[in-house]
Amino acid sequence: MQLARVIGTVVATVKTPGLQGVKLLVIQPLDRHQRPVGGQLVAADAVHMAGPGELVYFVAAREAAQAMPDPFVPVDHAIVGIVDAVSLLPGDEPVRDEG
Amino acid sequence: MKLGRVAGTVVSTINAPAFDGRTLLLCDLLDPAGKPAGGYLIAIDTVGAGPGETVLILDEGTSARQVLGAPGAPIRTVIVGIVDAVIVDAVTTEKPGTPRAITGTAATKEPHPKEPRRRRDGGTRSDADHG
Repeated sequence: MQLARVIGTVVATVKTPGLQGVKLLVIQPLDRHQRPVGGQLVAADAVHMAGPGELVYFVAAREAAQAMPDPFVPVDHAIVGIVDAVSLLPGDEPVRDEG
Repeated sequence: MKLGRVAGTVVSTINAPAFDGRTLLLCDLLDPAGKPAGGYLIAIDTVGAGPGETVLILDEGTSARQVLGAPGAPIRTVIVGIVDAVIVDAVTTEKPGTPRAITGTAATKEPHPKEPRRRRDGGTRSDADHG
């Protein structure tokens, strides 16, 4: 699992049947100091409460589909939690919330 | 499995039900020499690891769910061990802060602090309590 920032939503009316009712969000993966790292992704929202600007953690690969009500859906990234706080060891670079 | 060092904790109250009551630790990935290998993972702790410790990370879903006893959970990354030492080509990388092995007889000379002490009149503390 990795940290990510939700930066947008995806609206699609024509979808494969398994994806009906699944909320899709655009996320930017972050490093542990919450700086953007890598490309942006579309992830399914498995907590039903994530929205743009929020700091979340997501799971990739087969486990992403396991997070959905129907585990046999074509999903490869899923948001599985909203982050309240990341606390690093003393002396580590401070985390600055840029959202 | 991968080597990592616990760099911090992640706190979350709104999460998928499978994560309720689980501890999430943010782990930097390490190479066998103990240097950062780049990247990190958020893993579920199963062994009681703490910040700064070198840990063994399992990053494969089916095994992770088996370790947790949670079939069907959207979980892929778990901490399954705390590393004491890594030996590569006969070079040992010790976990920082590992206490040195006790050598010699120094450890056995001191009396155990909880050992009951004899009183001068020959009785013990428990005799006095009942008297």
